[in-house]
Amino acid sequence: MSIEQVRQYMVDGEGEAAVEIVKDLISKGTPAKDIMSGLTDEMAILGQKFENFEVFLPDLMVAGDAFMTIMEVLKVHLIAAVGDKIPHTVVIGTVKGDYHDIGKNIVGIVLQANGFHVVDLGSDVDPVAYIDAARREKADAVGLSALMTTTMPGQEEFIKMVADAGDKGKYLICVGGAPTSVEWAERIGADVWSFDAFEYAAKLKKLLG
Amino acid sequence: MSTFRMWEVFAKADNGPFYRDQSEWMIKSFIPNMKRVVKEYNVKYDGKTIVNCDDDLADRVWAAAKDFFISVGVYNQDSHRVMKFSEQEVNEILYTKQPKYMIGAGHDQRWLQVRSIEDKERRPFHLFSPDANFSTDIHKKACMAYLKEPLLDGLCAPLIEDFMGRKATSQSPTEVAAAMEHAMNLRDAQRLVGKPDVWTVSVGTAETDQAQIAAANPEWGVRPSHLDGRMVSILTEMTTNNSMLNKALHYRSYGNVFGNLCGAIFGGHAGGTEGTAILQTAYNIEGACLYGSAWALNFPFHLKWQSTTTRELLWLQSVLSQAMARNSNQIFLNNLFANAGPATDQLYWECANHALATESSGGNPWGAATCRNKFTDRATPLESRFYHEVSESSFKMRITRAQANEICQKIMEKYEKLIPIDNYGKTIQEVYDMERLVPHQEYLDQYRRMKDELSAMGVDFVY
Repeated sequence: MSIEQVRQYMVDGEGEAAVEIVKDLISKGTPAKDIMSGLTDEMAILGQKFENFEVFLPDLMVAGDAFMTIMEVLKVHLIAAVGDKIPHTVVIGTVKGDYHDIGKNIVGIVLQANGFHVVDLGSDVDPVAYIDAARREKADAVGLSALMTTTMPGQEEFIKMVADAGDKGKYLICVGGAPTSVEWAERIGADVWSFDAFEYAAKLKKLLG
Repeated sequence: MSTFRMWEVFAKADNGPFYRDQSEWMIKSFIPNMKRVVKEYNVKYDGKTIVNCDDDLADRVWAAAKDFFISVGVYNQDSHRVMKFSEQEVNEILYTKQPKYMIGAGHDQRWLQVRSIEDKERRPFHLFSPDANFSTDIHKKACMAYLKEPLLDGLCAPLIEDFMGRKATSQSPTEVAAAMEHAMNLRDAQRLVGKPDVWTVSVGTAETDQAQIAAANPEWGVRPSHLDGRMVSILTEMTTNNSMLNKALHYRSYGNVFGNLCGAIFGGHAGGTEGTAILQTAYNIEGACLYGSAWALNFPFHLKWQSTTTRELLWLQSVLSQAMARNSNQIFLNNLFANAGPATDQLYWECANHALATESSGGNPWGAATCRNKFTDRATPLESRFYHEVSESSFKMRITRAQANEICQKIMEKYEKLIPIDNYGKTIQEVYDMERLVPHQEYLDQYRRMKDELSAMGVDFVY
C-alpha cells in the first residue's frame, strides 16, 4: 500500500480502489497532505503529457473523475489539518447561446489538478447566473468560454453587467475559446486571456498567488 | 428513395436512456465504447502517412464507426436523454440515401454527388467558403469577389460581423437582423455578378434556429428546395439539442438540400487520431439518421491549432473519405481550416495538401478558411482559387493515392514546423482592390509563383 499505488489507480480511473488504499494509508498515519501532493503531482504529469499529445482528453477525464472521488475522502482530513490554505475558487462556464463545452471542461480539469476549487456552471450560461455563482462561492475568478463568433459578445455583456451590478474588481474575469484572442480580451476589458488551459492555470496561479 | 421518419426520430429525445448530465454519459458510455472499437477493429495510425492507401483499414474504420454510433447514440442536452438507433434503422437509412442531387438552377445548375476513390468520372464539387467573419461594410463586395471565381460550383458566404454598429450576437435581434442582411447581400451579389441561380449554403451568420427561419424567404432571402443549401451542426461530441432539431425540421419542411456540419476534435473526447477518425466517420452516419441531412461537411480539427491541415488530420480525412466512398451512398465534403493567413506561402502549401489528400480519396473540397478562423476580414478568394485549382488538377491528372501521398509529404516539409507560429498574413482589403474586386498584382505574382513551385513537385495545373 503506497501513495504510488493511489496515483496509478487514479491514472487508470479506478477511483474506488484508490479510496480503499487512501483510507488504509491514513489509518496508518500517512498525512493527507502527502497523498494530496502526490495526486496533484500526478495530475500535473498527466497534464503535461496531454499538452504534448502523449495522452488525450479521455485519459484526463477518467483520471480527473477518479481524482474527485479520492478528494471526497481526503478533504475531511485536509480541512482538519493545521495550516492548510483554502484553495482559490474559480467559476467557469460557456456563455449564453453556446453549447460547446470541451474547452471549458479541459480548463476545469486542469484547474482542479492545480489545486483550484472549480465551480462548473455548464454551457449556455446566463450572465446573471455567473454573477450569482461568483457571489455565492466568493469566487476569485470567473472564466467564460465562447466557441463561436456570434457568442463571443456574451463575454463582453458579462463584463458590462459585472460593472453595472457593482461587482467590478471583486474577481478576475477570464475569457477564452477558439475564436477569441488577446486583442479581443483587451478590447472588452477582460483581466485574463490565455491560449489554452495550461497557460490559464499558470496565469491564475501567478495573479492569485 | 429516401427514408427519414422525422417524428419517430424526434420522439427518441423523449424516450431514450436518461443521463443527468453529458459528462456522466461521456464517462460511462462514450469513452469506454470508443476505446473498445479502436481496439476491436484494430485501427492504427503510423504517425507518418498522409494519404491512406489501405482499403481494409478504411473498411474497418467504417465498421467501427457504425458500431460506435449504434452503441452510443446521440446525447440530447435539452431532454438529457440519449437518442439511440437500432442497426436495422441505420441500415435502412443508409441504404436509401440518395447519392446525387441536382442543385442550383439555370446555367449554375450542378450535380452534388458521391465520388469514388481516385475517381476518373466525377469531378469534385467546388464549394468556395472563407468560413470567416467579414466587416459589414464590405460583406456584399466580398460575396461578389468569391462568386466571380471560375471554378465555383457553390458558395458558403462569409459571416457578417455587425448589424447597425452592434456585434451580431447569438439569440438576440442583432443575430436575426444580421442573418437577414447576409441573405439579402448574397442575393444581390449573385445577380450583380451574373450568377443568380448558383447554389449557396446559407446563412452562416444565423447560429440559432430562429435566425435561420427568419432568413428563409424565396423573394429576398434563403430560397427553398434545391436552390439553396443549409447546415445543421452536431455538437461536440455526438450531442444535439432542440435548437438543432428545430433547424432540421425547418430545412426538411422548406425542402432544402441541407447538410450536417460535423467536426470531431483531435485530442478531444475521442482521443488520438484513430478515435477521431472513427468519430468523424460516425458523424456522417449520425447526420443522416438524426437530421435526415442530404450531405455532410467534415471538419475534424486539431484541439490546439483549430486547423485541419496537420499530418494526422490530413490522414484522418483521407481515411474518412475512403471509408465513406467505399461503404456508403453518402455525399460529403471536406472542410479546409488552415493555420496561416492570406498572402503567406504557408497558406498556399496548406491549401495544396488538403486538396490533394482529399480529392484522391474521393472527397469534395470546401474552402478555404484561414488563420485558425480567428480574425475578421482575413480571408480572400485568391487562396480559395488556388485550393480548388489544385483539387481540379488532381482530378484531371487522375492522381493516385500513392502519388498524392508522395507529393503531400514534400509539401508537409514546407509548413509542418511553422504550424505553431502565428502567421496570419493580410486582410482582404490589403490583398484586393475592393472597387474592382481583383487581387493586387503583387499577390497575383505570389499566386503564380506558388503554382510554379507546386508544378515542379508534380502537380500539372489544368490552366
